[in-house]
Amino acid sequence: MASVAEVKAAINTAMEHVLEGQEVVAAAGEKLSEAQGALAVALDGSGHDAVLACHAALAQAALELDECLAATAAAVEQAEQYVATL
Amino acid sequence: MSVIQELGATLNGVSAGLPLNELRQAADRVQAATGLLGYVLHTSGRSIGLSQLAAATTNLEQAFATLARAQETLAEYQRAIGLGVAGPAPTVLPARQEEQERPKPKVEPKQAPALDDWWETRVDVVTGLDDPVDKKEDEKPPPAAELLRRVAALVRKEEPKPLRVQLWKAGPAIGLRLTALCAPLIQELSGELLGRKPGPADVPELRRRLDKLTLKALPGLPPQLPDILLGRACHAEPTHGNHGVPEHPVDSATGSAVLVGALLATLRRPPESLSLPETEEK
Repeated sequence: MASVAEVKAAINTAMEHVLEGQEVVAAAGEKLSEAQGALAVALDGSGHDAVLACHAALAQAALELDECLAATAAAVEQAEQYVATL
Repeated sequence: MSVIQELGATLNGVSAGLPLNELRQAADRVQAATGLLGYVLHTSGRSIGLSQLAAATTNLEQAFATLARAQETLAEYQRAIGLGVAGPAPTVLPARQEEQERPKPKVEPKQAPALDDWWETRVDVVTGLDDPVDKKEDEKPPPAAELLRRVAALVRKEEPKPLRVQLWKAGPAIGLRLTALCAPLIQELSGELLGRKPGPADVPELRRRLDKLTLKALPGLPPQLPDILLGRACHAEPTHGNHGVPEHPVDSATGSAVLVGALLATLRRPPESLSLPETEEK
C-alpha cells in the first residue's frame, strides 16, 4: 500500500508533467495563431473550397487547444484540492 | 520569383510551421501524467484528474488530426492552382539545396503520425534498441502478472532484445500496471536479499548488487531511476532520489519490472515463484 507521501509525490510529479504539457500547448497555440495570420494575408480574397476548409480546420484546431488547456487546468485544480486534504 | 511562386513558398512555410510536433510533445506529457494518476487510482482508489486528462488527450488528438487535414487541404489548393507542394506532411524546414541533391536513405512510407505511440517510443529509449517489432493487429498482450514473469525471465537470461519486444507489445494499458504490481515485490525481495527489512541506507548496496542486470536490460534508463524505485521500497524519505527530474511513467514501469527480475535472479528464484494477483485484468 502506498504511503500518503508516495501518493502526494506521484500527484505532484503528474502535475509537473501537466504543466509542461500546458506550456507546450500554449506554444502550439501561438504557432497556430501565426499560421492563421499568415494564411489570412496570403490567401486574402480566395473563395476556393480548399482555402475555406483550411481556415476552418485551423480555427477548429485552435478551439481544441483552448479546450485542452481548460481540461488540464481542471485536472490541476482537482489534484491541488485533493493534495490539500491529504 | 513570381508572385505565384512566392505564394507557394509562403504556403509551404505555413504548412511546415503547423505545430504538429508540439502536439505530440504535449500528448506525451499528458500521457505521462495519466500514467502517474493511474498509479494513484490503483493505490488509493481515488480518481484524480483522470477524466480531465482523458478529455485533454482527446482534444490533442483531434487538434492533431485537424492540423493534418489542414495540411492536406493546403496541398490540394496548391495543386489546384498549379503549384508544387513541398512534400507530404512537411513538419521540418525544407532541406538546403546541397542536402536535397545528396542521395537520401530509403525511408519506409509512414502511416499518419500517431499520438498513441508514446509507450513504444519510450521503450525504445530505455532499452536502447529500435529494431522493427512484428506485431499482429489482433495480437493481445499477456496480463501484467504474466508480462512481469516474462520480463523477469529475460532479465535473468540477459536477453535485452526479446525483453524489449515483450515490453513494446505490452502497450501502456498493460505496461503501466507494472509500477503498482512491482512496488511491494521490490520491497519484499529487497528484504529477502538483505536478510532484514530494507532501510534508506540500503539503497547503494542494492544498487551495487542489481546494477549489472538492470543496466544490461535497460541501458537507457535514467541513472537516478533505480535510486528512486529502490528508495521507495526502502522507506526512504519522499525526497530521496529526487534529482529534480520528473519520472516518466514508462521508465517507472519498465524499471520496476526489471528490478524485480534482477532481484529474483540475484536470489536465484524462478519468476514462477512470484505470488501475483492473476485477476487484475479482465
